[in-house]
Amino acid sequence: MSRPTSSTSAALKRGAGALLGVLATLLLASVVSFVVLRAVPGDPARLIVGPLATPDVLAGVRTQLGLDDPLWLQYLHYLRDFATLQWGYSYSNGADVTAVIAARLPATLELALWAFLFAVVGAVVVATLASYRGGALAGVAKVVSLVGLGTPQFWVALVLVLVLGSSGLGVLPGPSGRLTSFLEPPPHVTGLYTVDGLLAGQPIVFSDALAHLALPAISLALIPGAFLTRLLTANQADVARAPFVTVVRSKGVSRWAAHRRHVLHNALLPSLASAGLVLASLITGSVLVESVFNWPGIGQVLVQGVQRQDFAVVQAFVLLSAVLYVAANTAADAVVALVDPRLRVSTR
Amino acid sequence: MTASRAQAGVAAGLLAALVVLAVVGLFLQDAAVKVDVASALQAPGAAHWFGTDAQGRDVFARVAVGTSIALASGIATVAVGGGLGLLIALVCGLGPRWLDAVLVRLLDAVMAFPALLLALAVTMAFGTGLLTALLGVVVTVVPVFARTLRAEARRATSEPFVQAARTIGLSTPHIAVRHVVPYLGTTLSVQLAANVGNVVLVLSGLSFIGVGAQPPTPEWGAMITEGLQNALTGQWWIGVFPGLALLLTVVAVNLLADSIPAVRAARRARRTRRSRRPRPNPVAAAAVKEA
Amino acid sequence: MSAAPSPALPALSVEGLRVAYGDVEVVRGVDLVVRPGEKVGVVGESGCGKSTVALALMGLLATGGSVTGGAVTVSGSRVDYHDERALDRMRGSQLSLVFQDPLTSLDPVKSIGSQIAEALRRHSPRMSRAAVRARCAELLTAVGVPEPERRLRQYPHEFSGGMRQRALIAVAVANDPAVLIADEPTTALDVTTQAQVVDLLDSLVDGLGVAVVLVTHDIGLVSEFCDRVLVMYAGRVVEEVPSDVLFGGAAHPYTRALLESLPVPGRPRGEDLAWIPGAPPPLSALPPGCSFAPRCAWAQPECSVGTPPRVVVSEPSVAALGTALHTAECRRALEVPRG
Repeated sequence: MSRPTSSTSAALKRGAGALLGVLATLLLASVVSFVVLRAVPGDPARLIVGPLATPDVLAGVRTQLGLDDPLWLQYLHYLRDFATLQWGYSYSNGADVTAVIAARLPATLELALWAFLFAVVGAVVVATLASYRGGALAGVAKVVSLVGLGTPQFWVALVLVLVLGSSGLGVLPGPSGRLTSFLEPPPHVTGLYTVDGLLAGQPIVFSDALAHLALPAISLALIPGAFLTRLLTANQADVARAPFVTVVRSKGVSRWAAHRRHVLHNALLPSLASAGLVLASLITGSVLVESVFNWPGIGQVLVQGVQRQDFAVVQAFVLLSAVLYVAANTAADAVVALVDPRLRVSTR
Repeated sequence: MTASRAQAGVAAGLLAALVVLAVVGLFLQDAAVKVDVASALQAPGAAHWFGTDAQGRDVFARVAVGTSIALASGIATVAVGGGLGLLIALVCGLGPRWLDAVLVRLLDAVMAFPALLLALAVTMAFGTGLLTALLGVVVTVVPVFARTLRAEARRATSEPFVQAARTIGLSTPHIAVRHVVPYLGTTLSVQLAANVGNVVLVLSGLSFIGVGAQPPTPEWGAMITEGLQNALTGQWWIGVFPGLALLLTVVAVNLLADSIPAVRAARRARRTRRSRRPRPNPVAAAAVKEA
Repeated sequence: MSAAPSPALPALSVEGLRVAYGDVEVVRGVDLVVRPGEKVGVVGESGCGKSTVALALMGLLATGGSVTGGAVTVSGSRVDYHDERALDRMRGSQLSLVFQDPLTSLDPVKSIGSQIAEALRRHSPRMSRAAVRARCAELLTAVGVPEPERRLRQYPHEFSGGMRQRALIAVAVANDPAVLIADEPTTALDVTTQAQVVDLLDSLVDGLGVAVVLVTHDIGLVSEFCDRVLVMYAGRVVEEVPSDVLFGGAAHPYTRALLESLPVPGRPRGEDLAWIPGAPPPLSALPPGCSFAPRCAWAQPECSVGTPPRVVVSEPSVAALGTALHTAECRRALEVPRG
């Protein structure tokens, strides 16, 4: 059955083909973002210098930005600059876009990680209970996930602040950033306050950071959580009908153990393929939710960039999101290939 | 089957209510922008069902006008985007293989961008406003339609009825319009419905960030942004009602999209049951099989 | 583990088993006694309820199905189909199941070894890791899978259909069950593999003394493999017959008709196979009287009235093993010409 040499080379070929496809997609995506942001009406130089600048100043900025070069050369420079992390300078205040994004990244990363955790744990629990118990619970789960998929995250954020935040029940802090103002951020290790707080042995910082995180993370988790709930419920319903589940039961394994060990396991594997979609929804969500909570992340940087007509910021952010999407999908494919025995390359 | 029909019924009821609200909105356009500082920030009551905002405008009138804006722009973008997507799908499905390969790569590249961000970039490039935002959203909708319909169109080309049409020498555009497009029916209708929801969400998101409809316009996303400023001082109604309308719209459309395949399948089953041909005697076949 | 084969204590005894899906009764009073080491076949057309009997005995009916009557005893103890925990203890240790389609009967993402070990661990939780591994290898060897140590680490997709069915048989016999229920174990396999799997089942009966209930539509297989055959029609056992008298001695018109529809090698080409007129009645609307009467060549007006009597066709000979009774549920069982 196993022919290691031929299957390994076949897998290598498959891997190389997939990698070429990914590169092609990324290149095309960069073309798309270049076309959208450079070749359409609207002059970046004019935006930088403002409407009152003299033609000389305008021409100077144009040369400086390379806007007089032929388009293909501009594209190559654009590509080089993006790849070497030189994402230009803010049109509005001249700040280094790369530095701004790097400084703000940990806040968004922490938010997105917790939201991801909420979404995955919530979806696995709800979908598993719904497909194991069935009946009314399954109906409720279906309705909740359908409603969840339709929610405007920024509105949910607003409602959560109104109900649970400082102006409502007061259970959780309102839109006041990452920490209560009198607390010092923990010593910088990962940049994630919850993790750093634990590492530094400051439980108060940890719990305060978590309390500040809770509402934005829930708002952010809603759409990916609802999406994963639907996906996992459908997958588990499919797997539960498979004859091997009856065989497992015939060994004397209880229904719950069979569901957990076999149905859930088989249902989780294909859901890895939607990693890119989940990431995209977290990126989009951070743009919409951060400004509601005054969360100092990159989503807020983007919104401020948009309001100031700051193309340099928007350009970097948009292409970055596409790169991350493609990277997440590629990584998920690789993980599936490692985890699923049917795709695994025989190493023996 | 009955569950999905009930679901379709609930969706249709919700949508009917929203259409009524949108029609009411057409008559309230003046009230929606009438500034009246004297009656600013009134809580919901008999005079103003949904209260008034910071400039004394009636929130109910604004939500109603917002409904007509959302429904009109949602349907328009999906119709244009879906039409263009269908066209690309037919070119991919029935055209030469190399063209299909190139187009698919390009579609994948466009789809690598999260919809909201791509729409945002396009909108910014062409200048802020509701119309440019609609253009930006169309750009994100086209590849979604093209990609899903292309797969179906490719499948259609291997079906006997298309092969037969080819054999008797019908032209490719004729086959596309008369044979492949009807084959795409269910997928197309599901995509149309499902995308209206997404489009309305993305549009309101754009306005919320500030690149879509601009403040005096009673667009839901823009209204939520305004509501945000009053939320912490207790005037919750300014932001909550438009969001509720937005949520109900998207949920209704998604419920409808979700129930379409089952309802269509049930209808098709009823139709075939009525016109069922007599089947060959199953017993003879069974007896042989049993042996 | 396995009880001493005493002729007084059947491995499996079923009395008046009834199963319903919703309002429709699909098994309508089935009796079945299997002694240790005995091989009993259950045959019938698709939809006659034979697979339902197999699943009902395991307590694994699909949702909507339930045992509505009858008593089942395994190795002398009564089975309570409402006690899920007791059922879990029984399944795999006393009563085991081998399924029809080996391609879909194994979890695709778990190794063969872990799937056999799961059966062992469930019933012997204190077994050491090494002991489980050794026993798994021993089982694979017993079912004729070469290189067991390597094969245990492999996954179902690396096994052929026949090898998968062997692995499933290894799972089924892992805990020395008293009874093995095999539901169409060879249907999905090609002909040469079928013969190997049947030989394997045969050798397991001889080696382990396990009793086998073979559920199949293949009347030829049953006559070769089994000691006794139960013929099912419309949810009832219409004839119970020792397999050595099946050909030539069948008394029920339905059994006769089934036998006549068998293709016989060497019969001249062009000659049509015999077939049974009409279709089995829907279980939701059974005809009155004998369910087979509407399709029966020997039916008389009184066949459509009242339940047909169970007629003893021939008493067991003293020399025969146990009590190989031949009965048929037909008013005219003794008049129908046998041939």
